[in-house]
Amino acid sequence: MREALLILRKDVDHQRWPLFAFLLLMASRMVIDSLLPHHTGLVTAQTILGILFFTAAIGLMYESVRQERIIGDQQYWLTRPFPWHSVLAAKALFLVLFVLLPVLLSGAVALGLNGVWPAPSFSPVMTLLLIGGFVTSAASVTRTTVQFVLTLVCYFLVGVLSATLQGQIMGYEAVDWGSAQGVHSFADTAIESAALAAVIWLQYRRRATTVSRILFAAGVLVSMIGIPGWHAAFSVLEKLKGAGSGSTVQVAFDLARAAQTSPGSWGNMTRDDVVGVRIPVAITGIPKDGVLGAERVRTQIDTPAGRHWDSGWRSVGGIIGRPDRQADPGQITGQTAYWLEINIDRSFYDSANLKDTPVRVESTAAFASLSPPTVLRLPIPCTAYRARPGEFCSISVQSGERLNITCLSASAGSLSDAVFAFASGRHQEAVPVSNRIGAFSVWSIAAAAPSALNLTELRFDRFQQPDLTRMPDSMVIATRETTGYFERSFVAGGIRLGAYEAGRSAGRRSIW
Amino acid sequence: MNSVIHTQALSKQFRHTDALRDLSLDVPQGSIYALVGPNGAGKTTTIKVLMNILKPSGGRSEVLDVDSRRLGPPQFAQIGYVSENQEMPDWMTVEYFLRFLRPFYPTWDDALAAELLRQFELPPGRKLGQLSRGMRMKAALASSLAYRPKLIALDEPFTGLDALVRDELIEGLLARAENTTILISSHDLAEIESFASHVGYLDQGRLRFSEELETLSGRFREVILTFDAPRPVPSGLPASWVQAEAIGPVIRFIDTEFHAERTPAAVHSFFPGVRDITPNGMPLRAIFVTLARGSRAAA
Repeated sequence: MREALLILRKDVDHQRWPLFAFLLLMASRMVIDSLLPHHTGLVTAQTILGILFFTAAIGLMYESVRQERIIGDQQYWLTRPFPWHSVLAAKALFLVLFVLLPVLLSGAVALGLNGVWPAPSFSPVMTLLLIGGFVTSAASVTRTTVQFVLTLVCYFLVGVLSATLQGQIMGYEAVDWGSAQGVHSFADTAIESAALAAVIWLQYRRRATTVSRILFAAGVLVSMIGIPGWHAAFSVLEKLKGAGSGSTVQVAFDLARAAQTSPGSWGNMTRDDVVGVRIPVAITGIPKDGVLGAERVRTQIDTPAGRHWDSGWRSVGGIIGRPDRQADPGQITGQTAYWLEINIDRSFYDSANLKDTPVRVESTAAFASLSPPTVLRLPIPCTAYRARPGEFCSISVQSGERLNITCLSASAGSLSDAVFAFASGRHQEAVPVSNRIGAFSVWSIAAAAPSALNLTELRFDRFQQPDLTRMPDSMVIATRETTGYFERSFVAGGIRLGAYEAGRSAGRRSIW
Repeated sequence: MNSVIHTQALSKQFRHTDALRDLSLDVPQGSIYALVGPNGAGKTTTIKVLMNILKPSGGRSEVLDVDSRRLGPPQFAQIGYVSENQEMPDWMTVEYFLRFLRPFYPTWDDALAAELLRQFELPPGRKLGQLSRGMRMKAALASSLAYRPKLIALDEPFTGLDALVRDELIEGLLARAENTTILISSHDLAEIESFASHVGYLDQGRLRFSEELETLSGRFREVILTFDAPRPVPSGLPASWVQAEAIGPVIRFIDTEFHAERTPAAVHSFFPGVRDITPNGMPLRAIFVTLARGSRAAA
C-alpha cells in the first residue's frame, strides 16, 4: 500500500493542473445540478458539461495509466522495485479519489440542496468504474496515444455499426428485449467487465499483450453484439420479482370468437416468406386499473402427420389488441378483444398444408404486470413542481401551442420503467426513463403538442376539438410501476389456421 | 567464485529470427563483465532477458540466484539497470526523480545520491526531458548507484556520448561501485578495454567465448617465424594457429592458445628449420578481429 501511495502521489503531482481544472469542472457541474430542478433550461448546459466531464475523466485516467506504460521494453519502471499490484492500486486509487468520489460528492450536494436525502446512487459510479476499467485496459494494450485514440474510435464505430446492423442481421428480436433489456445489459456488462478485469490482470501481472488484446477485443465485441437467450433473461426477472399482480391472469384461445373482428388495419410488415395468422384469445383476471405489458410469445405447431414447427421467443406479433386507434396494442387492459399473432414460415405453412389441416397449437406468452397509475396533476406552466419526494417536474409552453415537459428524479429507479402521460385513461404516451444527467435522472416529453397527448383531462381531445384556442392550465401524468413478470401457456387442438389467415404476414406491434 | 548471473542454453526468438541461441554465460560476483559484439549480435536482448523485460524462448537464466522470469521488486531493489534510449519520466526534475525513487530502495544512501549529483554535475532542478543525452545517462546512472546495488546492468551506456562524458561516467561508475558486479554491453571494444575484468563475445546470437580479460590477452599471441629462405605455409597446422600467412622468408600466424614453453616446442616440430620465433602480444581489438573472422569463416 505504501508503494501504491507513493506512485499515486507522483501521479497527482504530475497532473496537478489538469486535476485542478477537472475539479473546477466538477464544481460547475455540481452548481448546475443544484439549480437544475428550478432551471430545467440548464439541461443542455448540463449535457455539454457531462460530455466535457467524461472526456476529461478519460484523459486523466489515461494519463495516469500511461505513466507506467505496460507495452514496450524501454520504460524505466520495468526494472525498478514497483510491485505490479501497487502500480495497479495507484491507478485504481486515482480513479476513486479524483473521479468517483467527486462525482458522488457533487451529486450528494446537489440533491441535498434540493431537499432530497442523498441516498447513494451507484448507477453513475458503476458506469464510471466500467469506463475506468475500459480506459485502463485499453491503455495497457496500446503502445501509443494514437493507438489508444484509434481504439476508442474503433469502439465507437463498432458500437454504432452494431446498433445499426444488429436488427438487420440478427433480426428484430436481437435488439428489442423489452423488460428483459436490463438483465441483457447487465449480462453484457458483466461479460465486458470480466474481460476487462482479465486484461488488466494479465497485463499488469504478466504483460501478456497478445492474449490481452484478443481478450479485450472479444469482450468488447461480445458486449456489443450481446449474448442470446431472451427467455433466460426473462426467467431471471420472473425469479427476482415474481408474478406480482399478474398472478390471477388467465389466457386461453377463444376460438368461439369470430376471426374477422380484429380491429384496425393489418400490419405493415408484409413479407413473402411468412404467413400471418391471428387467433382470438381471451385474457381474464387482470386487476382493476392494472395493465399487462405483452412481452414475447413462443408458439409451437404440431400436425397430425407428426411435423413440428417452433417459432422461438418472438417479439414480432404476439398478444395484441387495442381499444382504439390511439392505444398501444401491447398494453393489455382487458377492456377489448385480444389476438395471438403468429408469423409462420411459408414453407412450413404450405408444405404441411396448415391452411386446411387441423393442427395443435401451443403458445406461451410472457407478460409484465404494471400497477395502477400514480396520478400527478401538474399546473401549466410550472417550475420545479415537487411531484413526489425527490422528483421535480417543469412544464413550459412553447410558442403558445407546444408543451415542454421535463421531470427530474433523484434516482432512476423511483420513476418506474415507464411514465405514461394521459388524462382520459385511454391514450397513453410512454416515455422511457433512460437518461441520467448529473445528480438527476431526467425524462422529458419534449415539444409534445397537447393534442398529441390527448389530454381530455384538460377538456381537450384531438379528434373532438381539433382547433385548440387556448392552452390548458393543467395536465395529468400517470406513472405505472412494474409489479411482476409471468408466463402463461395455452393450447388448442384441431385448429385449421386457414380460417385465421389474415394476409401475408402479421405486423410488427409497434407499427400499428 | 559465485556467479551473479548464470544462463544455460538460453534462447530468444522474435517471430522467425533467432536473437539468442544456446547462450550459456556466467558473470562472476564482483567482476566487470563486458558483453561485446557487433550491432545485432544479441547483447541488448541478452540483458533484457536477464532483466525480465523480455521472456526467453528457451533455456534458463538466473540473476542473483533467482530465475530471471521471476525477478521482482526484492531483486530489483538490488539491481541497477541503465540502457540507451531508456524512457524516463521527462516531466520530473532530477531531484524529484531521485526523491521519488528513494522510498522504494531500503539501501538508498542520501549522501551518496548527493555526491553523485555533484560528481556528475547534474542540475537538480532541471527536468529530465530537458537534459542532454549524456546528462540523462548520468541521471539514470546516479539513480541506479545511489542504493549501492549488487548488480548493475548497463546496455550500451556510452553510445553517442563524447569522450569526456564517457570518461566521467566510467569514473563515476568505478568509483561508486566497488563491491558491485557490473554487466556492460558495448559494440566498441575501446570503451570497455580499460576497465573490464571479464569479457564475453557475442556474435549472431551465440556466445563465441567468455573469459577473464587477462587470460584472453595472455593466450593470444601473434607469432612471427623467420626462415633463411622463403617457404609456404604447410598444411595440418594446429587448430589454435589461425590466419597463417607466408611473406617471403617470414611466416606469421596467431596462436589462440599461446603457452611460453609449449608453443615454441610445437613450432619447432612443425618448422624444423626456423631461425627465429617472435611472439608478440595483441591489443584486444586485434584479438576480437581475429575471433570475428574465425567465427564468420566457421559460419
